[in-house]
Amino acid sequence: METRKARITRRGFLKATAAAAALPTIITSKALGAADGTPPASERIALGGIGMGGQGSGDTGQLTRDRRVELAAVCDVKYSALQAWEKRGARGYTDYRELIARDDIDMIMCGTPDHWHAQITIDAMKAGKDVFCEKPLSLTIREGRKMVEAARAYGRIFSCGSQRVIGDYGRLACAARSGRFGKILEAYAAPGGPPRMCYLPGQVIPPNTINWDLWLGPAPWVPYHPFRCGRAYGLGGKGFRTWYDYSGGMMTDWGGHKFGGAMHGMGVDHTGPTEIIYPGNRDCKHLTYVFANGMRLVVGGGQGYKCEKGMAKPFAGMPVPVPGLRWYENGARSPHQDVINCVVERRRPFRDVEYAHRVATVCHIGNICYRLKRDLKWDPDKEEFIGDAEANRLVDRPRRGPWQI
Amino acid sequence: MINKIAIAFMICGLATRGLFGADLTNYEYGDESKAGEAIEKLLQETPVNEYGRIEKGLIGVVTSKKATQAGKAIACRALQQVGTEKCIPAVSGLLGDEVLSHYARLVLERLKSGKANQAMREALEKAPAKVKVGLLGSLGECRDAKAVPLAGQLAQSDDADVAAAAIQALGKIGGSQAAQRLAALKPGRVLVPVQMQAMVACAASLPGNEAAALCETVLAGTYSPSRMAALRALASADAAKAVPMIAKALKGDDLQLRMGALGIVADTKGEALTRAMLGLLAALSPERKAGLVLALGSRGDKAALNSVTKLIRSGETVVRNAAIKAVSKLGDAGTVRILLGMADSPALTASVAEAIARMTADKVDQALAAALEEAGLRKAAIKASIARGCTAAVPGLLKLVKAADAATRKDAWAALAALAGEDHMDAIMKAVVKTRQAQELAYAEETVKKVTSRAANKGKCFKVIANYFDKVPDATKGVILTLGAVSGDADALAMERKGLASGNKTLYGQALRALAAWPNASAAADLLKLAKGAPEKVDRLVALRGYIRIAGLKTARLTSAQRTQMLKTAMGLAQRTDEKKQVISGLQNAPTLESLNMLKRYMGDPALRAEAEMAAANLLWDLRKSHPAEVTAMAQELRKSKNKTVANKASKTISDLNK
Repeated sequence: METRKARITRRGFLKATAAAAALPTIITSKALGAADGTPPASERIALGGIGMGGQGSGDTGQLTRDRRVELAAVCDVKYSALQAWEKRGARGYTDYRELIARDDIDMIMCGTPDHWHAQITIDAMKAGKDVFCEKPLSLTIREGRKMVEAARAYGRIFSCGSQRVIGDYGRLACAARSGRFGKILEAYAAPGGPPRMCYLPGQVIPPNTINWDLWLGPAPWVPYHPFRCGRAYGLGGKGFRTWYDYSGGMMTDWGGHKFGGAMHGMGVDHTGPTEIIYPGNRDCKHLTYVFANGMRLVVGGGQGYKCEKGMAKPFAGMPVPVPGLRWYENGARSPHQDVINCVVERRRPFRDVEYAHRVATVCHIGNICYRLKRDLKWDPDKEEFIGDAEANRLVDRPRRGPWQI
Repeated sequence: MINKIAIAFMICGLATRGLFGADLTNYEYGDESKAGEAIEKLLQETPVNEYGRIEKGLIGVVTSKKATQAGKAIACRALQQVGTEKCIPAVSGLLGDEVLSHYARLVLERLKSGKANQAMREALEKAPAKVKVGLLGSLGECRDAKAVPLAGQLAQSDDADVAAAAIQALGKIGGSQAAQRLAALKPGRVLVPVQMQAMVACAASLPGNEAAALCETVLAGTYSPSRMAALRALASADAAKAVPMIAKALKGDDLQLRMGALGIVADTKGEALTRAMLGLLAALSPERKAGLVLALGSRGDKAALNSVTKLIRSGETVVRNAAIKAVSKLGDAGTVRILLGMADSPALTASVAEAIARMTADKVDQALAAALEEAGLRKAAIKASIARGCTAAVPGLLKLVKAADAATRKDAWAALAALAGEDHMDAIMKAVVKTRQAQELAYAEETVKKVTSRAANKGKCFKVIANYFDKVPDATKGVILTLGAVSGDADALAMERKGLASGNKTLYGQALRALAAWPNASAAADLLKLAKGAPEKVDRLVALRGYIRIAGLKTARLTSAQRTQMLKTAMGLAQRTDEKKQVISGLQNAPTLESLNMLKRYMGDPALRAEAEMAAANLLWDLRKSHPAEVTAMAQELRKSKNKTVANKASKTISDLNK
């Protein structure tokens, strides 16, 4: 409890980081391997979980199910989220900077609300940690690009979440890419709506519940209200995913799965659309993304692919994966297994940050299109809107106070 | 006076449009005026060329002395979208405020304007420390070269937070001046990592030699994460200088740096680096060698292909596996033959198949198909074809099912079972006709079954098979009859009747069982006839069970009345309790009053009571609206059942009827 109550200053953080710099980076443990095949601690990946709410706890559970991973520390600005983990031996922190300053942590799991993803993961990568970050990857397009740049510059392994890109939608992608149905013409995916601004009144923070300033982090300062930081799912106004300052809404939350699956199948998850058509314009009933190769991604209907010979359907005997379609390697069956393999083997995971960023970008562009209510043109190489200064202002958001990436 | 005019203008202007009726000046979060929502709506509905009027009104709020913090914050959010350089003086006035400074930066940072940058620089000098940190962040984000001198001074501040923010800003602004400032800094120990990170960031903005010098400074330090980043930056800035340092890192003990070096090998271009890395391979331990081989594979430089391919024969498993993976990325169609030639053990055959399955180069499928013709490569080529899902191999495999070697024929049938499609069925059947040996016939039959079961158009596929019915031996005829149930069309039914009339007891039995597994109701009449009149008792039983099955089949497209009638007939024929229970179970899928009455009768039979009660309880819900009185009576009886599930279902139905 001592660490929980301690308020870290930036000076303290910097001091801890400097101390870490002076120590060797390999875990030095006296623990020996167990008879059940658990590797010795010196070979285990020491994990720090940041954001231990529902999803973060789930991800941490998935990651630590692998014997190669050992949970070393957890962090959450909501005090109650730490208790269960502390009982299991993990050291608890309320300020992630203390956790990533620890030299004995190899990898972090980031399960915080969206507005923290970029800051935490970039800081962690600069401190030499690999990253598993829940989807959606980012709050803004520019943030996502900076996450890619940091991963590349610092040589870190970075996997985003979404077990469904392959899990639910992978067989559909295999069918579409099998050649049996001809060339893909259109893909369909309907993630859900954009977020909205929050105008909830301020309330008194109940004691010992939350470090509100840290919860807000890079987001604009506003008075506390439990629904701003609530965990309720959806856009009903009782959870953070409803609000523009902290989330891209269901568009980015489900977009990570649904657009991720569609773009994977279309083979465009390394790039972005060139045009975005607002619903109702140019004979498009739904929001529609047009890619340079002519393929379209339509935001509507059930997940699927319209091909030259009709809708693609999985068929018996279909190779999974089909040749040429990216997939988990080395027998991984989930993003959690995949990232652990990749951390060990030092290769890029299936949900590498670049792919996750491209998918998140499509989500963000959709939200911007909904907000501006007009067609947009996008340059996927420069990652900016063409001839639209107003839209380009929404590509990023200035961060509060000390939070810079 | 000016403020009042501006606010009045806004309220007046917006109110006349019927979109805004609240005073943003007095706004507080949670306010019933919903001014925030109104502004958002207004921005969405106003054409861009009319933004000027909104901007003017918002400036009024920002500059108002009476305006609340929340009102000003919301005004800034709106100005982020509609603001121009005209709003800079007003918004700059908020830069000194601890809360509103950030809201002001929402506007100024995204304006991308020299004037906005100037305003932030001017505010920086007077701002409190906490605000300075944010301003430095924005100036860094805007890459404002004019901020370098000021940031340079603040980088030496006694306040560690301010100094760190200034150092970060210098890194982001980049350029020679910022680089000089960064290199000249002598920060305290706590700020060294920040300085290193900033130098790496700054290097990306510099010409080659300057960048290289900055990177070398970082590499001379001890902070591993930044050293690794500097090595990567050096590789981009000056590849020739980087090559020996990458080699040193790969041989060295700094794990972070070693992993980083592998990443650089994988990501950066240049033949010189490829050559240097190939030269280094021999000097590395197996684990390190494997890592480098994988990196060379990801690198994609074909110059590494020959050397890496040779490592597939390595005695070290870790190296061999890495080489196979690397070759799958580097190799082309010509590599297929080389890989297949190496598959001289089961383990190596599996590895080669995996590598070929992953290859993305053009014409790999054709190369694989061609390899089937070479005896020495054939076995591995068949395995690789299956792993790759290579349908181009099917014509070659069809030839191989006639090969002299029995093992090859077996492998070929297995591959056809995995790869062939309905378009190949005719050719497969031609091969089946010529197959005589019993064991081989079993492989052939398995192939026919698998291809048919995954055919998109099973009827079309079965038609092709049926054409061969009279040409194949009786054993194969039996397989064809079994496959009739997969198709279920009229031709298939006709063929089953042929089987029943064949006089061959085995074929009769197979036709009967196919009918009992029929996918639709078209076989019902035949089954009923057999249930009544088949010579053997066991055949009558099989037919009756098939008939009951079809009556309950959801995909049979039967009305509830038809189902009830069929089940009533079946019950008349059923002699054993098992079949009677099957009928009762089918009745729950036939929601008619007659079904309910039948079930009521069976509830009196102790041997059938439990099944009848459950079926009746399931029927209640479906019939409650069409026959409420009968359902109520039955539900009240069932509510007394000892089976809790039945009693609960009955109670739920009664509750619903009483609503």
